[in-house]
Amino acid sequence: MLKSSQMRKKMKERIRYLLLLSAVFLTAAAGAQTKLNGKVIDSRTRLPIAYASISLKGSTNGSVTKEDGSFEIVTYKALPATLIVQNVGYERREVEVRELPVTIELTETSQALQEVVVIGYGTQKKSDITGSISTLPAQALKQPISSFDRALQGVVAGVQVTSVAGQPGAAVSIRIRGGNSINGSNEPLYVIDGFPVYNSNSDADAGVTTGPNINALSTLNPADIESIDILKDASATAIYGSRGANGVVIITTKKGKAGQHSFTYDGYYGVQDVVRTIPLLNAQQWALLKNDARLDSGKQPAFTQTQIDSLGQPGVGTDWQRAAFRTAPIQSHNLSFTGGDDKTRFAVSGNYFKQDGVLANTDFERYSFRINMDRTFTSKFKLGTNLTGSKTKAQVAPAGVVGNLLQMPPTVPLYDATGSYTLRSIYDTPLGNPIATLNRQLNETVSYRGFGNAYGEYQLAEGLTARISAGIDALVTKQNRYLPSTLYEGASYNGLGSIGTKFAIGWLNENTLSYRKSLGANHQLDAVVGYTQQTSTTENTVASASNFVTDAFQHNNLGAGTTLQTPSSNAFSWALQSFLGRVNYTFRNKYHFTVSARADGSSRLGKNHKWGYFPSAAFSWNVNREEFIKALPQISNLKFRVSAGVTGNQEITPYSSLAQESYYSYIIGNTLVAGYAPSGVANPDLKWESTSQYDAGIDLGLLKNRISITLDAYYKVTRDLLLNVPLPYTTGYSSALQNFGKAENKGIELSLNTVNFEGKFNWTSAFVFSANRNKVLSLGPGVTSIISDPSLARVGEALGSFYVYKTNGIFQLTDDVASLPRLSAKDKAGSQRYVDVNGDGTITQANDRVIVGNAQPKFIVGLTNTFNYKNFDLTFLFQGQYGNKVYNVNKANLELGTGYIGASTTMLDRWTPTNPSNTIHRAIEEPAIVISDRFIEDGSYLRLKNISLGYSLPSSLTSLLKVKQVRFYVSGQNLATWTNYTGYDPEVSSNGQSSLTPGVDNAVYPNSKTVLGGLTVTF
Amino acid sequence: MKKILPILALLAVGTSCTTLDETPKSFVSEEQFFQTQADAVAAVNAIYYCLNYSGQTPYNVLFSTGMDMMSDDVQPGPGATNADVRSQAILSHSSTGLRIYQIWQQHYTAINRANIAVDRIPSVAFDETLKKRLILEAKFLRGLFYFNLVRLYGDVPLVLHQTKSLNPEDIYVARTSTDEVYKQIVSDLTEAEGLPTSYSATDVGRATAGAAKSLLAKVYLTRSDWDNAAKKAEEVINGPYGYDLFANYADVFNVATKNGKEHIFSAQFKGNTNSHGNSQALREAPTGITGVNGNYAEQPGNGVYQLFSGKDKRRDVTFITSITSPTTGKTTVIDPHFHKYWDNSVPGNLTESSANVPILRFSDVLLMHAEALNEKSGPTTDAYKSYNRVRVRAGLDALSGLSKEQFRDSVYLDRRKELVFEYSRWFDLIRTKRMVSALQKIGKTNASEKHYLYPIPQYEIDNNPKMKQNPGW
Repeated sequence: MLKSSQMRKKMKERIRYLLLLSAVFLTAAAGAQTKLNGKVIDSRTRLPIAYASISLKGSTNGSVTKEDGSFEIVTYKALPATLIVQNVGYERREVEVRELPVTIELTETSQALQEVVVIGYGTQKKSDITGSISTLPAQALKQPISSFDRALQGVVAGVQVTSVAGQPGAAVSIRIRGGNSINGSNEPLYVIDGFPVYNSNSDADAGVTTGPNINALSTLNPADIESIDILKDASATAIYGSRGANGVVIITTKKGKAGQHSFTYDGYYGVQDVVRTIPLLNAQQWALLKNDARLDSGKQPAFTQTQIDSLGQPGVGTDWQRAAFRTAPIQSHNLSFTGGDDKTRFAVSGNYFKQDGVLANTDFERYSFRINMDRTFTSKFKLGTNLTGSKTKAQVAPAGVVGNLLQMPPTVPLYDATGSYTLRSIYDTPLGNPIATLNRQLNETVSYRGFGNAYGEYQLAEGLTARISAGIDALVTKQNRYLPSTLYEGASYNGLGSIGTKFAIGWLNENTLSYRKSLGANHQLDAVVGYTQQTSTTENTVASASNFVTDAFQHNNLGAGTTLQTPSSNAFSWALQSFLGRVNYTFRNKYHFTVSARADGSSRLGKNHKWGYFPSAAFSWNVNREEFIKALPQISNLKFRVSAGVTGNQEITPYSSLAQESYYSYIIGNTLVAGYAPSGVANPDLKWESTSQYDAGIDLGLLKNRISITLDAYYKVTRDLLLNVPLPYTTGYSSALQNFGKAENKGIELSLNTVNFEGKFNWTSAFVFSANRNKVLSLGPGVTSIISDPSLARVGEALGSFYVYKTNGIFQLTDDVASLPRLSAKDKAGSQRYVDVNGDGTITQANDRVIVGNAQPKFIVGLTNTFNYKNFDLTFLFQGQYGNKVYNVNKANLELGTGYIGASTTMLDRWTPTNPSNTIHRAIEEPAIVISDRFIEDGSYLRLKNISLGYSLPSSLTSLLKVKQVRFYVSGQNLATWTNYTGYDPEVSSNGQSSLTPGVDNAVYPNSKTVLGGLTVTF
Repeated sequence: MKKILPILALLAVGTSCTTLDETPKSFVSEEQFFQTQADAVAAVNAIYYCLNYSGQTPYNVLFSTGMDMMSDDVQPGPGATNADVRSQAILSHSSTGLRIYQIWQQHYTAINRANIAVDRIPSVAFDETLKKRLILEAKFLRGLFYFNLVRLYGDVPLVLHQTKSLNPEDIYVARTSTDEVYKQIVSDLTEAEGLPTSYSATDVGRATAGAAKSLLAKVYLTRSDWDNAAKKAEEVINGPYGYDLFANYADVFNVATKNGKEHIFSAQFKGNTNSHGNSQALREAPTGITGVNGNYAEQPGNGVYQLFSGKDKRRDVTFITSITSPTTGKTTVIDPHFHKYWDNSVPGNLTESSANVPILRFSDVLLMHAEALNEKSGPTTDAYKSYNRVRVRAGLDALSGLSKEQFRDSVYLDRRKELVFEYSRWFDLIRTKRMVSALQKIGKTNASEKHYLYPIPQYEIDNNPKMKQNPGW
């Protein structure tokens, strides 16, 4: 706020100056004048810079640029002349002018050390920061993304983003410095314009649709965002106390700027295609497999030789993947109008975004608007509001449809003899026609979100400001589902319609006092204290009916269903009360100290432990400001940081500490009767999960900050895990949520930014690298492991370890199978052989499974390169991870070789007496998957995540067109991926944001690649 | 400071707007419960729930996939895609088998609920007659669940009170000897003989005195206590309960005649009612018949169909060999599929079958009576009388003149045919010590003595330091 009042003062001065200058020019009009004219623009954004000061070297003549960046200086000097151009936040430039008009490009202060970073409950100069905070590079938000959280991928050290599914609008999973919790959520806290939002995707899920959840954050328009700051260490996050342990992502939306009215249209249109398809057996190959499998069971072949021959004809058989995937459009249109004067500033925007999915009849659509406004009433009193509203609508690929299109045998025709969709597979596994499912099943989520806050700020005394804010977040979701009677899934119901609504309404009140004071030149103090309260209520209703005479009503007339399904509803709420405080103290502009603390009271926890306390302390030292460092002119910036603190995690379901009497109904007298029994044991001592984190970091700038490096090392240990501790079943319960167990994460993060070329040709690079090691230290008394197939949490191991059988080739004809360790008494030559780990002669789950890798990557990297030449700009982003494993469930299914379902081309090499394969077992009618290391694949990948080429019209043209800026661009996403993974995409998570069972690829909607073109015009 | 005052005032106002106390709206917490008669009734209903709620539960599929598939009556069909089920079906399972622990877990969940009812109902003030009945229902169910457990797992922890704390000394319970467990079962069931002999229409389906006696007969039979077994069976046969065989075997599984004179105690099902349909039917039904949504997860064991002679009326009730599509009218001849529990009013959605699963029925009691008398004193007139009632109803000839051994084998065979797919076969095989020989006969050559008992679930051993594994596992 100080900053804006300074700016206001400066502006007034400038205006005065301008008037004065005009007067001077008028009186000097007599001599031989030269009019030096031109324009000042930002070298990166190509946008005009207003109010930049221009002075003629060696004279007192000068000017400031107008709103469109243009300027004019009248002088008696002849060309060439040297102009000195300066503006806050930009490098000062001296430019020799030889011809007119001239376009002068200013580059932002390269390392932007003067940049202000948004931290919790305040802002801080980047140079004064003590904690570990990353700022999202501005260009990352320019990618075509459905939700802003996707922009974090590959550009911020320590942040791992996993797109869990390719469904448009689907959720992503984000880990900042690894996952701390086993059962609790590990997603970060989002703070949007000061409003903490825990991104629970279940808030946008009424429980009616199937398939991937829609990301609740996709209700916000990414184009509205000005900046994203990521708080990583405890010093930065402890101010968010009980919700800080997973990191905090601070989002600041675009605000208007005084005197800079601009009207911008930004839009793009593109097409997407599936990244790759999985090679499957064609009809003839599959028929042979089917015959082999039946032969193995001693049955007659299903296909005669004549039939097999005719299946080999071109065009015979169904390629289900080809039938399902399509080239799908994506488009976005964004209009924004920003501006203001010295008292009122505003930003108004509207957005339309639509992404069709690469699977038929799936999409995501958003309409949104935003109004951000603030007004200064007196020099002491200011009011402002940030308000956004949106509607999103998604048609989601129903659960299982991707599995069906892989497993549907190629000999099943898409259409039956009457020209309608074939209902289902005619073989032993009842699979519905996936193309019919996609096209006929209604499975949609519609959300409305109103999100806004208003604040008042009053300066009580010099440096002391009180601020009160209140906000509301209203997320209303309606889900509709209809399974028509013509679908296999709907036939048994004779049409099934369901509707569900979910109201998630939260409000927040924050009251802070902040104090800033300089005590002489050597001491700077910046303190904040506050009291906040937040509460949220969620209400959910679901109604369904089946047995419809006609499919015409879909979900819109449930009363017409002659069989009513049991309706359901529930409600829950939570509240949080907090006291917070922080002191930043700087001594001699070199030594920075931060102490912060937060006390949180949460309704979710046991009645004996409602309140938790979260302190932190940090220190940083700007070595570059020391005299001794000035002897090393190469070093332009050097800072050491250390911090320690405690943060918490409370992301458990409300009421978890209570013994709930749950509803268990039964049939008595041929009528439904109610039953009640406790579904758990009460735990009044349930408390926070707390994470202690230690961080040490260096910021180093070399060669006038052309090279800048940030390196951090951290160690986190999480205690009192909110863990579903397994209980002996003899208690009548399977587990109880208790504070047991301990886990650690440690790692390093590196960001390297370089300016490789500067001048007419600009080239900058940004490289991020992070490595995190996670380990479970304890799981409670006597518990050494928790198995949830295919993963294992075991003391001493990382979470997400795959715990499976190890294969040992294939039993051959020469083996005496009966005497060898085997999994099944039926195993014979051609069966899969497994390693008898404990050597007891049999293969058992209890004794012969081993850890064969982990779903967590050893490291993740990202590399962004940006080039500017004349009016062209080019940027590309590579992103990848290394060392993680993925359980490929699709492969496990497609290599069963039962002849019940489709199969992958790898089954061509199956074992037969004449083809003694040692990798692929024989065709066999055994439809159960045995999870083994064969299906645990390397999930490492490197991807060209984004590439974008832009061209901005030269200013000579834009001034003709009376516009400030016109930029055309083309870009591509996911155009190339290098990986050994054989599934659709190694970036996948069937289990969404789960920490216990990550890295599972079970029939997930595959990711797509995109090519698009766009246009930005600013008036 | 004057200026700060309004701010502080606002802060104070704010403080009162939220509360950290949790008052759930869509469920009751345990403290709020057990106040009224209705609460007590609901607590007992929640025990019945454990018999057969939707999903795999003891009397709704779980005893098929987790027990009878090991026997010679049932085998996994193409729709059984669970690796643990398929390995258990060929006796290649181990202590981590999914169904092994599900049966254990679900029985103890039910027992805890029965314990809650027995512990807490006495202190609620309401009609004493009803109170007594509810406690006896809980004890009957506790007896039934312990009886299943002790037969399958041998010595099991005998927990008789509600789990209220998470202290290790409360939750770690060692195994109790089989004899002690049976003592408790007999005590619970003997008390439960005090249950009403019948109920009014609104309460049909609850445990009765006849059910308690029938179950006691089965307990004694399992313990080779022939005297008591015969006595209890006799009390059921001659008692004031009105039990009799249906003239038509098909009526045993007919939805219209459920809870009829032959049904002593059944798991109650009702389609399209809050997931209370019997999903066993879906699993028996074939795939690929338009209008019938089968997934063919259970198929008859090799040779089971052939056990039945053509004149045995039970054959065509138990199995289906040709099926007519309800939508196309086309008839398809199929391999024999099980047909018990099908509800032909919902062929397209067989998960919503309303057919009950009999837990105790009169023909079972007659056969137990015959078996117990024969074991005690050879094939007596009364033994023939009971046995032949079952045979004649099946359309078979009445037998006479058999030796004790012949009579025994004949009863065994008819028990199998009468009760096939009613979750009785495995219990009968282990009770009569014929399991290994019967399974060897159908090619499960790995069947051995250790299979007489299930392994204790590995999970339980991992989470209870007092738990020991069964021999051989």
